[in-house]
Amino acid sequence: MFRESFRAGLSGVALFSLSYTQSAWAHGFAGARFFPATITTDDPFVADELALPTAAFFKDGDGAKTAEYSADFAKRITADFALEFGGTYIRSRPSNGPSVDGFDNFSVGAKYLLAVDAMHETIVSIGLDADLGSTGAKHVGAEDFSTLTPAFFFGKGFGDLPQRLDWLRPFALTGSLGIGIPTSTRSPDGSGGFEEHPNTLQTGLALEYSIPYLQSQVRNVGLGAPFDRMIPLVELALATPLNRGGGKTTGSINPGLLWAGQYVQLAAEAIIPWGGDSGQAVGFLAQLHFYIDDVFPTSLGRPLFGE
Amino acid sequence: MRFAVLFPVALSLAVMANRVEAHAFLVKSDPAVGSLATKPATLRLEFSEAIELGFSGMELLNASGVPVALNAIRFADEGHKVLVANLPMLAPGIYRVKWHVVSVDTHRTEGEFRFTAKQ
Repeated sequence: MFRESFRAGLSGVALFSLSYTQSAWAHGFAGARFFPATITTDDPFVADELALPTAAFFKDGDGAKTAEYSADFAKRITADFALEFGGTYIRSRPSNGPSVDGFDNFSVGAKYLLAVDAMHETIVSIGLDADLGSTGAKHVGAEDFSTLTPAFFFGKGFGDLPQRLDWLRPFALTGSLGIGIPTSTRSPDGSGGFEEHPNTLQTGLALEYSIPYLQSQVRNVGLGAPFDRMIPLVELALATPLNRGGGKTTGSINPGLLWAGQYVQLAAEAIIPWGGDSGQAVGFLAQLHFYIDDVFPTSLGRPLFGE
Repeated sequence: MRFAVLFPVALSLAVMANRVEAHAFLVKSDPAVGSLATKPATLRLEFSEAIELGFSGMELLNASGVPVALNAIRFADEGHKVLVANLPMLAPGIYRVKWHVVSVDTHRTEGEFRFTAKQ
């Protein structure tokens, strides 16, 4: 049908449409698989998207009650290359001291989509993130040095499993592996000594079970709104020091639920600390996420160059 | 902080007010995804968004992967969200439906599913 239409009518509208069909996938598609934007771990795809706000409430490793409000914006420069910007406002209430609040260091990043295999629902990207030193408030812990994190991202849907494993086909796994490299290896700790800044292995994984995929690809089990757009998931985000006496792995495991609408995505997750150094109680986070490529399909939601 | 609250609210309202188009997802089908269908006469796919017929299509394959001719693929509704095609008499067995659509805002989506035909 595609070919017939191509031959039949090269009208202005058709030309316009044709020019977009090759790469107008925008947010996370690999064939029939739609990868939602995960919250704790970075996505394996490039897209025009805005997460505003992401609100997290937890008790950190020192027992301080902490609230974080973040905004993240990603803009495709070309169809395969995007720039990302992020900022977080922190409000912290230590158990024995006055409350502090302010911005953490701002971050910028770049991501390049290396490959998409539609048949095997696989997507692979590489990226570089930079937390910019001295752009945040020192009293909320913003460092005066930058941290560069080159990373590899992947997404894999299980839709190519054999038919006898049909009920497993809605599963997908996304993840990232990066090395956080501080631009300063140590800095004064304020009491005459030095604090070491190790390189860290940054690991992110998200296991998802897509109800939309189940109902449109495997079996329509009759779930209606809002359940037909829900994606239960578990995310894992860990930071493992690699040198300079960096200590234990810290992070969290976050079970939660996404609701992926046509233009926005809502998500909520529990934050379960990965050991005592990561936090002292179960926290909570929620996010409102806009698919900018769907909200503004002909302007802000398009790559700046090419298609 | 006030901006952080007001901006997403304003953007949400703008989305609702403009009723912009988006990626087209398969909402419903007949025969239903993964179902057992008795002598289906048509194949009907309903999408979440209006689609461009010229850049959209569906294909039916039997259990051996051989295409089954679909006749008169057309819209079944004025909103251009429902594709329908006439089916020949299907022999009992498992069939695979493959579809691809381009929504009117030019986003492309695709998918496939199986159903079983019986007499």
